[in-house]
Amino acid sequence: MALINVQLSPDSDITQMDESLLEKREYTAEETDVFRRDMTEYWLDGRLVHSSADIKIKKAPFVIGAEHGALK
Amino acid sequence: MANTQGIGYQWKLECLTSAGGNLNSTSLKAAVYLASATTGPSNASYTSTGEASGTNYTAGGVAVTGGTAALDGSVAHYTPGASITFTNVTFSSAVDAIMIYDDTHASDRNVGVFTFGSTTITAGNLTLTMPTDNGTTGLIRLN
Repeated sequence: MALINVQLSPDSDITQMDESLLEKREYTAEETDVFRRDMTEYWLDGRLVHSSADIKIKKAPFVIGAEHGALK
Repeated sequence: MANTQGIGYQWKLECLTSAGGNLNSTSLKAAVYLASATTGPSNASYTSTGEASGTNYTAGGVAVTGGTAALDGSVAHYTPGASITFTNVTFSSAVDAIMIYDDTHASDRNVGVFTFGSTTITAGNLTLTMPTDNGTTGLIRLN
């Protein structure tokens, strides 16, 4: 029995529920050449009660470069 | 034989490791920002403006596990030593960025802002897994 952290309404405390009572959805929400965002959600009666994100950064999104610079 | 222009490799490394911004010895933190915020590289320092709020999230964010700045050929690079995780949080609104900043010096200098797309977190974890730390993929690179 796995317990999942859930929030049943926006103003309620975070509690735990047995995973077997929830609908699990896993998907890749977005993937670029810089990152991939994988989501794990649990739903109860059509309500989102748990949402986690695993963002895998593939490489630096920017580089401080001087390769093409020249002294002027 | 011709001369070759370019920034000195060792100087690039020392940009990452010199006093005032030594990534090898500075404590870093990561703060989360709302998707509606306008945080970016123009922010000189950590700011609470636009920062996420919600259950189990503390303003200022979490500590970042340090890495080691190094040279890979001509490229100086630095990547935190472990994933950055916000555990069992609910953010009040969607988030899409973190700022990594210097928590050692009073300046709270902004090291970098990294975006990842609008994301809703409810009673869950927000985990950012770092790239391989080298001159090709490292999180901070001076090319």
